[in-house]
Amino acid sequence: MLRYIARRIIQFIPVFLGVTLILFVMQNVVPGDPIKLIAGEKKLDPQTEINLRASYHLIETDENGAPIFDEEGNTIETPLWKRYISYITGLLHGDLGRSYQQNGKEVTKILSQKYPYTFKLAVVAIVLESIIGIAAGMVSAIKRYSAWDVGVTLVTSGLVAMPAFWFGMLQQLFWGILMKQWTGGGFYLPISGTGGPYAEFPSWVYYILPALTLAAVSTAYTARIMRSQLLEVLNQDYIRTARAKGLSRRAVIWRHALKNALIPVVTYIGMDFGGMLAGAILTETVFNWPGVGFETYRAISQRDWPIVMGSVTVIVIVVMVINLIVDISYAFLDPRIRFDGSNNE
Amino acid sequence: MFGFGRKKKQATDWVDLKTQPVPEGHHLLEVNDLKMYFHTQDGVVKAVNGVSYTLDRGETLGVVGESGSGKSVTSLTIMGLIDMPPGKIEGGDVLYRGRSLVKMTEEEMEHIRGNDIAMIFQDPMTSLNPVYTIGRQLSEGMILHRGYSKQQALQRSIELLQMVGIPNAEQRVKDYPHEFSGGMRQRVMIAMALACDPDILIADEPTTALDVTIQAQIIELMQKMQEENGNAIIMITHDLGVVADIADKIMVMYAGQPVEFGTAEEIFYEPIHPYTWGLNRSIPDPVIDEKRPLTPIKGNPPSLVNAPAGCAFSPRCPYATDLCRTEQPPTYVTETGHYSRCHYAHDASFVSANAPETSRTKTMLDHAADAVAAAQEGGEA
Repeated sequence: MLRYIARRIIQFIPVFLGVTLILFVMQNVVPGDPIKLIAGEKKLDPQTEINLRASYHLIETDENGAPIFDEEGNTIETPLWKRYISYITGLLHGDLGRSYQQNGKEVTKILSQKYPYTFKLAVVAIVLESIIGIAAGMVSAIKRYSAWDVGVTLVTSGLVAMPAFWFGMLQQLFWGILMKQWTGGGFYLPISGTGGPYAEFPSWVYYILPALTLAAVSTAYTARIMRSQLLEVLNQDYIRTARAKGLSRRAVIWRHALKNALIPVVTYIGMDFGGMLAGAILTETVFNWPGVGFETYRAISQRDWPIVMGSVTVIVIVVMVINLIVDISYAFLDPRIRFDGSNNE
Repeated sequence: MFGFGRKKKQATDWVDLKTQPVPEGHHLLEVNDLKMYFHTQDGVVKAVNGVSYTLDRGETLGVVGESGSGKSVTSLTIMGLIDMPPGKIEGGDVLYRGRSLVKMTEEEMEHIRGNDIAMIFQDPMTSLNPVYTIGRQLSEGMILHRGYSKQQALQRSIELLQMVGIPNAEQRVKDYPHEFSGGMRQRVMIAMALACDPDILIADEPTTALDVTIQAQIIELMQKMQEENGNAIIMITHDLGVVADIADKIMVMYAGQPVEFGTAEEIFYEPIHPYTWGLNRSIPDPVIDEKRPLTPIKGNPPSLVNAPAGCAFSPRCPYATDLCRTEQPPTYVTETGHYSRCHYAHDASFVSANAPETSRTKTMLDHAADAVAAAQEGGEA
């Protein structure tokens, strides 16, 4: 097992280098000069512009950080490969660079402020998704062709078809405006922007709508996967064997069918959790949620490349680690899977 | 089909039926004119249509027939493992020690299954739950029916594995099904079925999925277990050869109906139904010559939805007459209880003229003679 994990972590390296390299090249292809954008509408003073470029290592500098000029008095642009290497070197030292826009604030600092919100939202969403999705799928499979099953199928089809941002807006409209009398505007607060993007959200209430929106589509998929898996497992020969032993239908489902049916569902939920930790751009934007997704969206629109690079770098690592955990969890669910080639047929 | 209700299991007032004596005038298991129909969109499938037999402790009944002849459905009906709907018992009864299994509630049937009547299935590769150890799966029934603790059940599981000939049972009990070969898994299935010392063991094609070399071992094991425990066996197979040695009685099924029933000797040496003759001729003979050609039964089994008007076998029967094609044959019973559903079963001259020369022992003797003759020829040449 340990050897397997080590091998997988080594496999992270090329994936990681590939993704960051592609992004690094892309940010140089996208039109728009980020340094000029710092000043917005105003013209930048040439000396300030040179100093800014030097401080972001976009032009060659000497040991003291002063810019180097060529014979014609122009600055020398640092080649892409050099900047990439210095980015990776900085990364290995835990330095993701500084933001262009937010007064040169360190990216690591920005991300560490945003990540808790994304993480908490993802946890609430994944808990909702697991409980509602698995329960709905089980009821649907066990009471096949009943009103329950039809209801679950209809609702899941609706949720899958609905874009997340629209579902979020509908909820805001319904709970925040139409039901204001009833909710007392409680659901309304986080979406009105009161308190700004750095507002603290002390109450769990504020998680409900964003988490529901974030979990909606995947809950529908979870329910569908659970239903089809459970139906398939219930047709297996070993279920008949368990029934022939004298186990009750309930015992057969809980002890024999569930564990087998859950294997693909756990995969799906695990992958989905990785995706949610990567930041839910649509949900976070609709709800003004101060998480990584919203921050990344903002950074892209402002060409704030260090933040985009930083958050993507963290996302790549998080997704790869989550995938590894999902793969390892297989071994505990399904004894037929062994990672070191031993005990295998 | 499956309920969610969280009811208390194990009614305390349940008395194990297998500890009760068989009531006067009853057999251990009596199947009377059992009819199990499936109501599907295409119509009513008459999967089991009037099956009757009796079985006592220590006996072995062979149920022989092609795929789709209703032999598996009969035993699953006895076990109460058919989903209803689509299945429906349209008539007849199953009496176990004088009690009707058909009328029992689901909870009562849970006491019967695995405890009084146990079952082994065709494919040992898929009949064990892949995510639990063998020991856990073996223990389950004993914990449920006998109230064993986990420790006791595990101890007994090891003994059972030793009984069915699995080496190193103390270690193997902790292994998962995929760590066993097909033959070993079928041994585990037998151990599991016998765990609660059942009265009746139903084996649904227990050797079909196994290597020929393993088949004989499994059959022998089941016989040995029967000698030790005195249980009855219902052996379901499409292979007459499998039941030849071990069955006391044989029921030949065709299109949901028993077409011939008798002792093993009667079915092998004096069969009186053309379908049984066909089955006998379909067994490959080691020496195929003009005297013992391999003659398969032509055609396919009929649809169980639109069964032929007359005898179900008439479309494939080489001796069929207009009477066969229009009228259902009556059941002809001999003095020994040997019965056949054929219009001409009572006609001794018809039977003797057409019955194949299938006396197994006789054929064996012939083979021996042939072999001797061949050896002599070889010697002379």
